Amino acid sequence: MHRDWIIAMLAVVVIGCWAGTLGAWKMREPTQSLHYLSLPTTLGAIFLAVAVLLETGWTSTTAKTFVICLVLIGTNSVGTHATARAIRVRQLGHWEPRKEDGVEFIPSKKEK
Amino acid sequence: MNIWLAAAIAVGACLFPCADLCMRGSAERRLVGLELSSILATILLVLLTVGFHRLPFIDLPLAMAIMSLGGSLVFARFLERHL
Amino acid sequence: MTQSKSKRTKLLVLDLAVFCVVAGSWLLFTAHVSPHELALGFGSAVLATWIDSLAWRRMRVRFLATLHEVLSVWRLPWYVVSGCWEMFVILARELAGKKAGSFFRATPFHRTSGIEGISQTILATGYTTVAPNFIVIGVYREHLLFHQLEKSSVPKMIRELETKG
Repeated sequence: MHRDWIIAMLAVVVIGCWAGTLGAWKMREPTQSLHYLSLPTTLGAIFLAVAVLLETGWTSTTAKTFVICLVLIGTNSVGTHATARAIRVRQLGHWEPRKEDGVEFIPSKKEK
Repeated sequence: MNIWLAAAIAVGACLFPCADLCMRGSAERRLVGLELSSILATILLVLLTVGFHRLPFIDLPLAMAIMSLGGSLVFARFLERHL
Repeated sequence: MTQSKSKRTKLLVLDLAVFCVVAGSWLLFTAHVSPHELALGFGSAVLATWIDSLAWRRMRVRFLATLHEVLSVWRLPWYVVSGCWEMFVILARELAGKKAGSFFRATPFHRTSGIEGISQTILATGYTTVAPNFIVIGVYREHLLFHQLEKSSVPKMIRELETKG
């Protein structure tokens, strides 16, 4: 039973990693590919940490794996933001939203 | 062979499409490949650590997770301004 | 004069807190109290505290978020789950031949000026980008620019983080 849960967790980790890889590889634009980095980071890291907890119990290894999970989530967020901005600046010369770039400006509640 | 090593092999296989991302296409696409490889390598190291029952080696993926941010940010900065 | 004295005191307290956290983390992760490990650990903690104090004093690093703003992360798990599902659906459609979209959208984001506004921007960017299907590019003149593969509603986290009124 316990082993079944670990297998299930690891299966989700593998699925998350493969979905992220396939998505990043298949997308046409780099900004689209960046979205798929979140799949191994969220699904992969979180379920991996839970799997390690089930395998080893409450040990320093589990604590460090949870820290790895948090670090991956945090650093992926920062890295994705920086990379997306760099790509936009490289393509357009600026990152600010401008109507002529085809940015959709969502009206505020007052304007609605 | 155990389930952890089997999962490690499955995750390791993901590095082949990552290699394609890193080797072909525009500079932006290659940077995305690099970032994805870092994430997958970190997960792979954790799986191998538990799979080989070498639990003290868990510090390696921890260091990898922290240091890979620096590399990604440096390349993103270069991509934005200098390349 | 009194203000600068109280500011210096606050910075010193911050330095002490950073040192305690770094040294405590070293002890937790090494789980050893042998003399040479303690010497290396506390030496590293002193170095880390010095660099951190340089960042706060010289490089103008500022972060001053309220507890309410930091705790607005409670909505994130739902956005992660729903975002992961959207990613799988978009990938399945892409593999079936229907190309994924690419949308740059700008939503109003009112923030205060100064350090509090910077903190609001940091949290909004960090929390929103964690969720799949959202990449925040930046905040410019009361607008938060983000990218999506498929249009969806703006996360309530962003509304909670912006200045009311």
